[in-house]
Order: sequence, then C-alpha cells, then structure tokens
Amino acid sequence: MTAELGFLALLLALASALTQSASVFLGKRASARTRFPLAITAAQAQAAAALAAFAFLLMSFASSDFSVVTVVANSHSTKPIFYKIAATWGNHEGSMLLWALLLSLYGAFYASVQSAFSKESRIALGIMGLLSAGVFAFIAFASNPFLRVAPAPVDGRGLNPLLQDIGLIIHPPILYMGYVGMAVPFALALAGLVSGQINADWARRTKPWAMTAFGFLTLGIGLGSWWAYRELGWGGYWFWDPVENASLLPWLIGGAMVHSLMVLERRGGFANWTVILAITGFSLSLIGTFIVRSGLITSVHAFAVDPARGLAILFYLVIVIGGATLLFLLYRKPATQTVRFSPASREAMILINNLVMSTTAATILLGTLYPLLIDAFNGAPLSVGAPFYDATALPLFVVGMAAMGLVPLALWRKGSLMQALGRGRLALTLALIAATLTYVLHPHGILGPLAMGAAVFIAAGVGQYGYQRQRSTMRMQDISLIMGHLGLAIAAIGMVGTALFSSETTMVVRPGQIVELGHIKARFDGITQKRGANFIADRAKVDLLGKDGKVSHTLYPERRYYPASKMPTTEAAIYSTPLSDLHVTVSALTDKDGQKTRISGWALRLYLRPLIGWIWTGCALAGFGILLGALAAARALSRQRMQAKLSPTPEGAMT
Amino acid sequence: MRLVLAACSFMLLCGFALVETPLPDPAQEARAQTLFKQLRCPTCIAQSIHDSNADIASDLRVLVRERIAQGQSDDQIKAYLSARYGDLILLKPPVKTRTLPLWFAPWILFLGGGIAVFFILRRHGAAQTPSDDHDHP
Repeated sequence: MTAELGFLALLLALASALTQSASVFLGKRASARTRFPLAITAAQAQAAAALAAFAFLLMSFASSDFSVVTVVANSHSTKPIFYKIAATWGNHEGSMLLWALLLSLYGAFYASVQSAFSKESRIALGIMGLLSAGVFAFIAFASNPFLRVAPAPVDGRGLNPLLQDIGLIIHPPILYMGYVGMAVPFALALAGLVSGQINADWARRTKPWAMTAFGFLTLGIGLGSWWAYRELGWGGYWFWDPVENASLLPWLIGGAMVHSLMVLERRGGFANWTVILAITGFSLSLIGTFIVRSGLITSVHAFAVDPARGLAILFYLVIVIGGATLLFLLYRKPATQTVRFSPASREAMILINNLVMSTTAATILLGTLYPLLIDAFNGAPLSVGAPFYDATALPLFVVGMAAMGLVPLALWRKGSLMQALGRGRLALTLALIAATLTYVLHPHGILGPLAMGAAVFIAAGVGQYGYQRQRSTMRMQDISLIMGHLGLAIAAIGMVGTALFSSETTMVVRPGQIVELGHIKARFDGITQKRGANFIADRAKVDLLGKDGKVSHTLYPERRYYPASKMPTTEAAIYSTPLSDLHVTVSALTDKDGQKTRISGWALRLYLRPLIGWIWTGCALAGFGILLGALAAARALSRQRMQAKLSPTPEGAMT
Repeated sequence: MRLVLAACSFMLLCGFALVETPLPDPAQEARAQTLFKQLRCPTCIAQSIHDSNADIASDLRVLVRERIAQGQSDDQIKAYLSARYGDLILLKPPVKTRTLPLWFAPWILFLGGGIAVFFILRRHGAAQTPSDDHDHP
C-alpha cells in the first residue's frame, strides 16, 4: 500500500502547488486579502504532502519492498539499514522527489514567516507554486518513483557500491538545500520586478534566503569532493567532471549575488544586476540538476532512451528560464539615478569580483557544454578536461581572489586604491612572502604562487579586519564575513598545496617489503580476507614506520567486492595530519590463465597530499560562516519589521 | 552523488592505475607522468590515463613511455595519439577553428566585462567631488 499512498501524496502535493499559484494569479484583485491566506495554507499543505510522499518512498526502501521498481533497481536486502534509507535519494527518481520536497519546504517556510500581505510575497508564493507544480508533475508523470513491478523479484539489484558511504547520506540533501534554495531569491527577484520594488528593502528581504542557499551550496560541494577523495580511490578530490561543474556554476553566481545584494542594501546600487544574478543562479541550479540527471551531458543518447523525460525537462527549463528573462526585460528598472562610489571603494571591488566570478562561471558552462555543441553540429568529438580549466577558469578565479582580498580593506563609497593597499600593507607583505616562498619551493609556473599569495592576502586582510573590529563591537555579520573569507582562503591554500607539492608512488609488494615516499616508510604486512555485511574484501595491513623503525601507525586499505551489484571498489586508508594526508590504496595484479583470472600479486599506491585537509576545513568554515550571515540577516530583518509595526510609516504599511 | 549517476560506473573500471615499469631516466619519467595527465582514458568519462585503471589506459601509458624513450617530443606523441584516437583523447582541446569560441570566448567576455566595469566605475566615480553632488542625467 505504501507506494500507492506515496503516489497519492505526490498528487496531493501537485494539487496544493496548483492551488497555491492559482489563488494568487487567478481571481479578482479585491479579494487578495482572503486569497493570500489560502496561498499560505496551500504552501503548507504542499510541504506536508511532499513530506508524506517522501516518507512513503523511504518506508519502501527501509522495508526492502521489491515490488517497487525504484527499490529493486537501487537496493538489496543485505544492505545495512543506514544505506537502505540513504538509497532513497541515491537514484534518479528518489533524488528528484527530494528536490521537490526541499522546494516545497522552502516554500512553506517562506509562506509561514510572511506577516504582511504584500504584493511581492503574494507573487513570490505564486511563482514558487508554479515551480513546484512543474516538478511534481514531472515526477508523477515522467519519473514516478512509486511504480510497481509484478511479479516482484526476490531481491534487488543493489545500489552502486560507491554510494555505500557516509558521504552519500549527507552530501545530496545538503547540496540540494543549496540548489533548491536558489529558488527563493529567484521568486523574490521576479516578484520584486513585477511589483517594482527592487530596492534596499527588497535586498534586506532577499539576503537571508540568498545566503542560506549559498551556504548550503558551499557545504554541499565540499562534502561532495570529500566523498570523491575518500571513495574513488585515486587520491584526487576534483576532476572537472560535468556533474561537478554543474554544482560550481550556481555557487559562483550565488556568491556574486550575495555580495551584490549587500551593495543594493547599503547603497541602493546594482539593482538590475542583482536581479540578473538571481535569475541566472536558479537557472544554473536547474540546468545543473536536470540536464545532468537527464543524461544529456554524459551521453546524448540518454534522450533517446527516455525521450519523454528529456523533453519534459527541456520544456520545464525553457518555460522557467525563458519566462524569467521575459519578465526581466519587461519590468527591469530604468537606470535613473547613478549611485556614486569611487573606483577603489568597496562597491567597486565587489563589482570587479562579480565580473570575475560571472566570467569564470560562463567559462565553466562553456567548457561543460562545448563537447555537446560540437556533437550537435556533428563535429569530431572532443574532450574538455582539467587542463582547459587550469588554463582558463583558474587564472580568472585567482584575479577574483585578489579583488576579494581588497573588499574588507576598502571603504564603502570612497577611498583610493593606494589607501586600501596602505591599510592592507601588512597583508600585502605577507602575501608577497607567501607567493615568493611558494615559487622558491616549486619554480614551475606562476599561477600556484599567485593563488597562494592571493589566499594569504585574503586571510591576513580579514584577520586585520577582525582585529580592528574587536576593539569596537563585533557584530554577527562581521563574524560571518571573517569566517566566509577566511574559509575560502584556507581552502585555496589547501588546493595550491595539494596541486604543487603532492607526490605519489606505486609499487608491487611482497609481505615485509617497505615502500618509501619522501620521509614516509610504509611496510606491507600482507593481505587478509574480510567479510562485510554485503561485501567481501581483501584487506591489506600497512605499517607506517617512524624514524626509529618502530610502527607508528597502521593503515588498512581494502579492495571490496559487492556480489549483489558485481562491482569492485577501492577503499582508501587515509592517515591525516594537519599538514598532510597519506592516502594508501591496494590493488590486485591479475594473470589471465586461459579463461580463469587469478591474483598473482599486490600493488600499493601511496599518495602524499600536503595541506589537502585544509580544503574541507576551509569549506566547512566558509559554509557555516555564510549560514551564520543568513541568520544575522534574518534577525536584522525581523527587528526591522518589529520596529515598523511599532511605528507604522507609509512605507512600512504594505498593500 | 553528483558524480555518481553520471560517471561512477566508469570509475569502477578505472579505479587506480596499475603498475608498469617506469622509465629509467627520472626526467623522462616526469615528462611521461605530465603527459599522462593530459591524455584522456578513451573508455572513461573525465579521467586521464594517469588515474585510470582501464586496460586501454595501461596500454597507452606503455605506448607513451616507449615513444618518449625513442626520443619523440610531447607534441609528436600527442599528434600521433590524436591522429589515432581523434581529439577526444586530448583533455586540453587543441586550438583549431572549431575550438576558437571555446578558447577565446572566456577572454573576450572578461575583456568586454572589464571595459564595461571601467566605464561604470568612471561614471559612478565622476561625481565624487562634493561640488558635483547633484544627480547625473
């Protein structure tokens, strides 16, 4: 029954979403006061129904109900219960439902905190209802996770074993919180456009939502790369895969939007630009989730496999992105008044940073779609891989980091570059030292040293900012700024350290043999068999030897085999210290003896990755810092609303 | 999970690189390692032959090492491989007519944006002096 109830809940969610937008967009203007509460109720009902649908799917997975197609394809009875539950969103249909669930939760939350019946919040709710309706309709009619199969198979086909990891349990929900969160600034941008309210107050209302999405995107991307590093077994953490790029695009635009919102809030400038960023950010979120999920990018033929699904996605994208663009062109604010600021003010630095981030995003989008475009015009296929992005996106990003370092040093509205650099002379000196030192240690290319210098410049600059603030009063926003910028600087230092100073070695080993890598001595102590809940593993014992020749630490890399999905995986063993990681994997050498393949020996691969842990430390610091900023912005907003209630002004009283 | 649905099934084949005999000359071996990172494993999605465990990647590593030992230049080796496998094998697409937009659009965008920002800064900065404190047309 669960699957049928789930589908019913899905239809209820769809109906609620339609009611939500119909109550806003249809009917007479005069009855707005009665229709608005209906929209709020509908948004809450939609979230409740979506929650129920998701819970029913989760129950099907938890109880291994193999009469449900999605469960058969993505679960197995021998899986640990933890991973059975996580498998709910470890597949196309389930992850779409999670996406829709989060969208409706954001909508319900937005609806619940609206105290005033403003035109803007009404339209925003209507737009969010439309967005939800589209996704729920897509799920119900083209990507139904509740389909039954008869007769039910005895057991499932198992989940891709790479997904059997703590990373899977938390990474997708967090990342989706970011992707989907971009829908709120998007809806607010369109609502603000139509009601002619893109101003400083609008920026204050939008900022908490924009920062929430940006913070979760930061955490989600960090978690994803951490998972790749631990689980994919070749010591890398990022490889410019289309799916990874897809998450980076809304992140870059989201960052630009958050900062341009601050200029709009403080100075009333960048109104149209902020709206463009809000629309682009959500559009890229959609492209990221849907095009990648549709299989369009990895293989054009995925469309042919399920044309209904692909076309539905394309249709939805065209409506949302096209509609938003049209609204922008119709309602955009005419540039009447020029907000004044000097070319070295904080506004100017944010503008330069915005330009660089947007260009970087455009470059990554182009690189991701180019092979597809070439294919569409039947050119010979080509690859756009890491070396391309290293040559284009990375230099751009380093320029952006330099501008970012200047932001806290510059003043609002006024100031010259010399003054800003003068204030930051300590940071500048440290940056020069760091860049020179990096070059001396690794005299190949200047991008690495420049990036290191820029990162140190950012870190020292916000350090100084914090130190000066401490003497007056430290506000929550300041802590958020410091955490966000410092986090990015720390992550960047980790990336440069890893990129420039990594070393690795691979060796065929016999028990007792010692592998050396730099100052590290690792002794291979043989292989034992291990049996897991739903896998069998060859487990290597690797002793790390200290200077005195005694064992200082023991690592157990594994080579697992999952019979249910007939797939092997490599489980790396990682020994982390604050300054570097030692990442060890084991693999089997095989001989083909006629038809039979037998294991003839073992090889160890050691990667030494200096500073790699800083990447995730930095991501976490930045992510939580940004979320703290969202909280600060929400509190400031509610304080402002309280004051407006106490002393109503013509502007405070809304329609 | 972002990686998973698109690329993971390929990574399973391409777990980690197996062991081949490195070149005796460390400088040549370093060149080989650099080249490995620029060549795509033809059966993987976004993986270089440096990271891939697929048979074909192993064969290609042997081939690259052989040609380096024969004294061929990096460009000669890349030209040979792209003649054999198409440009698909180069992770860094070559600059050709059909890749001009790919290579130059980012810089044109950056330049165009930079010029726009320059004029915006000039327009917004023009009214800095207090005497010029009225609205611009």
